[in-house]
Amino acid sequence: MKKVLRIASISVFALFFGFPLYWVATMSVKPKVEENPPGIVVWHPESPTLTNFKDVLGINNANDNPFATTDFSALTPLKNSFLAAGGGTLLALLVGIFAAYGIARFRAGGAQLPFQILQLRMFPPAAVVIPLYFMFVYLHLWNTLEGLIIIYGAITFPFVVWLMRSFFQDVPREISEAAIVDGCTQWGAFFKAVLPQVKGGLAATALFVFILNWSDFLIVLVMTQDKWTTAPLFLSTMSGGSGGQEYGHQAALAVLLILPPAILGLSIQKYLVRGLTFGAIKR
Amino acid sequence: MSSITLQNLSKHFGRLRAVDNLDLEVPHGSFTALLGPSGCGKTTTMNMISGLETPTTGEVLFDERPMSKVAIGDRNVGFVFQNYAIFTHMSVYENLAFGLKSQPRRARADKAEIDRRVKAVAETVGLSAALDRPAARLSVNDLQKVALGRSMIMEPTIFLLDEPFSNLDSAFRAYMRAELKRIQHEVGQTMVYVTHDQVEAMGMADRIAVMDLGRLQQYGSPEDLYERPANTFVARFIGSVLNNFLPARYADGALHVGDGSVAVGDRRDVFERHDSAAGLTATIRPERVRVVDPGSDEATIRAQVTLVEPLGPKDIVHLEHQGTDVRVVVPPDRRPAIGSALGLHFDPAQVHVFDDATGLAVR
Repeated sequence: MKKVLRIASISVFALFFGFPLYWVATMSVKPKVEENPPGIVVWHPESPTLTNFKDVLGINNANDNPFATTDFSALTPLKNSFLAAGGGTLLALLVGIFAAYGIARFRAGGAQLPFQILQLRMFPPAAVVIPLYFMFVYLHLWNTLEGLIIIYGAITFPFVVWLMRSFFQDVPREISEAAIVDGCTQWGAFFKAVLPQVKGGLAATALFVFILNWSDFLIVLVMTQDKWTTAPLFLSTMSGGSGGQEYGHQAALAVLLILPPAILGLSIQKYLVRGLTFGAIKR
Repeated sequence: MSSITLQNLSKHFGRLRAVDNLDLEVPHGSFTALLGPSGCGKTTTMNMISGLETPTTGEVLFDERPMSKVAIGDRNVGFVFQNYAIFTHMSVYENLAFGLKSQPRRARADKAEIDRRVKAVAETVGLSAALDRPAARLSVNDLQKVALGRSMIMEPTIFLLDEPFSNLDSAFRAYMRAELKRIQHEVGQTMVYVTHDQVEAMGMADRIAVMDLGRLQQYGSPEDLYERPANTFVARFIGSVLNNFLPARYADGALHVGDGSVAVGDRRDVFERHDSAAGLTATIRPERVRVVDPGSDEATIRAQVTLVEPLGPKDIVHLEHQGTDVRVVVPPDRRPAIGSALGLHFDPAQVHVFDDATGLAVR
């Protein structure tokens, strides 16, 4: 009985969260006529097509494209997204990992520092984005890739510190001490003995931060124009124009946006689980 | 081989004196145990010997050479941690080879040499069959062997072991104790062993340093500690059956213990000179108390049996004498009935007397 209830409740939740995904996925392969025909709901595509994807990826030749006047190619925004989100994630990890280890292992900066770092996340991004805009214009970082990477790195840095700090705290200090007794330097012990122990946590943190940066809308809206537009922002500009709502193209780009985090998540799945359960060391 | 000398060694953490003015001499090739309850400073002492902690004051010397300027990696110590500190992302082989591979390039052994030494050590600790297994999948018992092997592979002159067996099940612990003693005998190196288990210390070590509250209480052979405890702490801490403590009083050339008296013989001068204003406590080991007929002249005191703990080869009999619990060890075939009265004979040579004010032995 308990089992039946559990399966039933899980099914309801799965349906609730799964259906929008299903709708987006099917929409992305529907031809234009099936997208939103008046008075009918098309539950599944009658004649699936990859046209939307080809348009969005810019590999349709102009003759086949009925909307040749509008540029649906999201190639540049996708590339921008990868560069900005990836760069921001790397920057946050690079700085955050060392900060986290210093805090976890050496109590660097005193007891208050972790909270001071977390405090950076206490205000909504909307509150800082206007001053940041002026600052970045002044610094000639507005509408540049470097600017985006710096902001993304700075904004996700507190998450890296907090997540990695707890992973480092779970590594017994004897692990690094053992490496040092064996002749490693403090740095050697960190890279050879400690960091590999938190591989799972590191993967989970990287994924988490990447998703945050990847799905950003507000910052890129304010801090860039055309040239460094990222994919989420581009997605929002795909409505309107002569064609009205471009549901098919929007859905295709949405699917493309879901894929990288999903693939990353699946490929590091074993680390995600390990990240939660690691610690084969008897304490 | 190296000797270890600790001179006025202290370590303070804020106001806490973890180790307070410790002087200790660990000779070449000896097996020395640092014994004490948790929080007595034994692990801190160990960490200062290895270099993981810097002493607040005092000096650690190996072979009379001060170590304060010598980096941890250059002290040539092998360290076995209580929680093993095994690198779980590596195989057993990689764990054993880690120290050799972490040496500076010019001093590093070549691949064949590393391989030879890893296999030799694996053989010694009994891991030859498990070399390729990931360390994350080892049993607790095998993790301990890896930790031991990893400390041996650098061929250190000093082995430091911090409660290495406290997480093992008791059967394997007994096995590893014997193994370690055998390995120590084989390599002949100086070993310092931290433990809170006096049975472990008594059974393995040549010399035991008993510590409490950061201070050295007594340093000597297991026999010394058992037969001639320097103070009440050692008298209470050493011995598998809790020692007997009885209020005592010296008067008129005899030591009065409970309602009996013990001849003092040639210790008379000591007692005469001793200012016993604070009162005295006499101890006698439960194993050394002789059970006699309650009516006999040999009985120092008489007591009622309250409880019997059968342990197999021997019984611990608890008796009550003037409100004090007295323990006696008897063979199972002499097990008395509860409630019966026994006479207890105290051999004067086995009775140790301590001053209640200082806790020190009256000698």
